[in-house]
Amino acid sequence: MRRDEAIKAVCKAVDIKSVLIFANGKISREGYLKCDSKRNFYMLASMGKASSIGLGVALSKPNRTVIVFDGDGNILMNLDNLAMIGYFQPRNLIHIVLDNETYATTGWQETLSEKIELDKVAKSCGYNNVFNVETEKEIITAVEECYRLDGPHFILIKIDKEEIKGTKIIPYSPPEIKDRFMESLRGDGE
Amino acid sequence: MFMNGMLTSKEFLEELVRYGIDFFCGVPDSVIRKLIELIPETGIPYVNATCEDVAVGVCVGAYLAGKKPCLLMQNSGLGNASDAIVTLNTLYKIPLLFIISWRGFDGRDEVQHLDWGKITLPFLDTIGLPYMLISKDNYKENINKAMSMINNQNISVALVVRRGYLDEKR
Repeated sequence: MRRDEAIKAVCKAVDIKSVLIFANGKISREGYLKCDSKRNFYMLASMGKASSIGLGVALSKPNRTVIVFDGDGNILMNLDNLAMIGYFQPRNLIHIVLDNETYATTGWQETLSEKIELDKVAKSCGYNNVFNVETEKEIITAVEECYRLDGPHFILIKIDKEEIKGTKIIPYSPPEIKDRFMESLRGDGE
Repeated sequence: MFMNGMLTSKEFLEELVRYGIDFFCGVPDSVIRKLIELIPETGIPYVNATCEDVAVGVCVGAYLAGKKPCLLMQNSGLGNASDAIVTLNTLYKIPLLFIISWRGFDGRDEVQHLDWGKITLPFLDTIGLPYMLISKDNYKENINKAMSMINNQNISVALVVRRGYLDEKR
């Protein structure tokens, strides 16, 4: 499955009150392409911090589900995020890792993930539910399961080393991305 | 050096809370140890971060969710935090209040703090993070100024705390 197809599958299963955080690079660009919404926060840089931001949102808005789209290179850059999330136990956080074992955005250089079992790392850090899925049906079932159970959840999706052509740069300015995301989180109590 | 004596961590913390700070996150240092120890008494959570860059990310998330976060750390943590400061706080105009202990200030500290001590203020200038040096005499005025920059201009601000200016022991 390609990255954009995996993102689209997740978005199909996401409920309307959830907010989505996309890691920098192709993950953000394909998120914009496949399921743009004001409840999407597109990271443009700050590699490794998608799940840090997700944790901050999840702890501050316990009644909203927070979906983090991470990559293998991203999460390996800050594996300590897994310890933070395992420790603080946000039950409303779904952490998705789209794993192609490469830094695809910078030219398909290998990451370390081929030999690192990220799902087992997440499990041992204290994520309550850990899924390792590949097909659209499995992805949708896993996300639906996350909505039923208490998190933190971790969904590892091994994806293809090929991707959709012609993704565009996100047209919103960074402050616009911030403003519309904050607007979508406003007015829903704690 | 101290016209009205040393600022207590309690008064400092109370003033921050008065200005609406409702989320703390950071990495400890001995200069701010008492400040961090007192946070639970305010009823506001303290998120104990693994690293200063992650702390920036967590505070940014809290801000996006409507909180007024404060990030606490030692000056050496600026090295870890700087990419996130430049590419989240500056790029997206997401303002945070930083409290940074200035180890190695004036060349008076253990040897491992002296190099960071020298470059701390130029480093803050380089990454575009405005700062104010905190003392008993100016803390109220500076917190007021900092929170006004945060609330009205979306600019992050660092309150820099030197050893000897804030009580450290319980």
